[in-house]
Amino acid sequence: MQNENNMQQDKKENQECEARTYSQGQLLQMLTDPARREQGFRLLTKTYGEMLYWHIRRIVVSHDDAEDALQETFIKIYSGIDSFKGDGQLTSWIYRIATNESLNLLRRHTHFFQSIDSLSPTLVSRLQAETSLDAGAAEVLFQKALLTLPTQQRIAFNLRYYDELSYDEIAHITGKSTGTLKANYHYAVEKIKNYITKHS
Amino acid sequence: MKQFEDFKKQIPYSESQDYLKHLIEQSTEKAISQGRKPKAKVLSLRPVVTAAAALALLLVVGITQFRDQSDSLADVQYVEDTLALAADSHLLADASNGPIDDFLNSLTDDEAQLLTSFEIEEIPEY
Repeated sequence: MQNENNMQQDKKENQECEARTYSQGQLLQMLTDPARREQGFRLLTKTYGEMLYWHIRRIVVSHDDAEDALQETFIKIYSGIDSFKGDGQLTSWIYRIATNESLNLLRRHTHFFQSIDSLSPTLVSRLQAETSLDAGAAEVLFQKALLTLPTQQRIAFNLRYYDELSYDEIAHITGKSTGTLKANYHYAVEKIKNYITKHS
Repeated sequence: MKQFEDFKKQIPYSESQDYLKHLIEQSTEKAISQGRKPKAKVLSLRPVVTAAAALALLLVVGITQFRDQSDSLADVQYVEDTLALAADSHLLADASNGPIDDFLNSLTDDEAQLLTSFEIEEIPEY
């Protein structure tokens, strides 16, 4: 009887949670409260999980790697929430973890002293292997152009172009200055345009 | 040809919404169950290798230092032993602890020479 009541209570709370949109501050409050941490974490992943998945997928390209990196990201967020000092936004912090986990995963595919940037041909072949059948040739070409960029430049471009983050937010995630990021973004755009012009 | 802005941020992958929802829920529950477990200390490779290298360096430096020190200690010990021996022999020379010593002390150098070169003749066969 007691269990049933608890279950009903949990269900009611979950429904209420789903109905409401929580601010980052509210989510953080829940996450830092041990009694509400699990509920807060479920809400956090529900809100930002998909966004994180696509961010990771764009970096590692492979679907299997994206799953692994997402899992590691969630574990790091959940176990490390106490270390979040509140300097900057919660989303920047989780993006940073996701970025680092993606880079760690790419590093596992490199040999000694090999740079992640040298993985570009491997990533292109993964892209070709995993492209959906109904994808347009232009979209694939665009992704190939992206994969010719140095990894850090590619990440900066993705965060700006796909996730539409501000340069300040990207600076918080990548640890680079906004000036460098602006330059990176514009170089990336030029390179992509040149690649597309050359290969279409 | 499509322009840069015309791609509309499409990605040529085919994950469905259901698949993503399931993946996120599964990963979330796994992260929570991992968080419930008592934390085991995991040593990553880099700090372990660094610590081992530092330890090896310390050992090499320590052994080298110890060898140098023990060599110099051995030298000092040798000098001390020699001095002690000299002092002992001086004391022994001064001492006369019995008739044999008195006899030996009374010998001249030539007599002592004869005494040290004295050989016992071989015992003839019988």
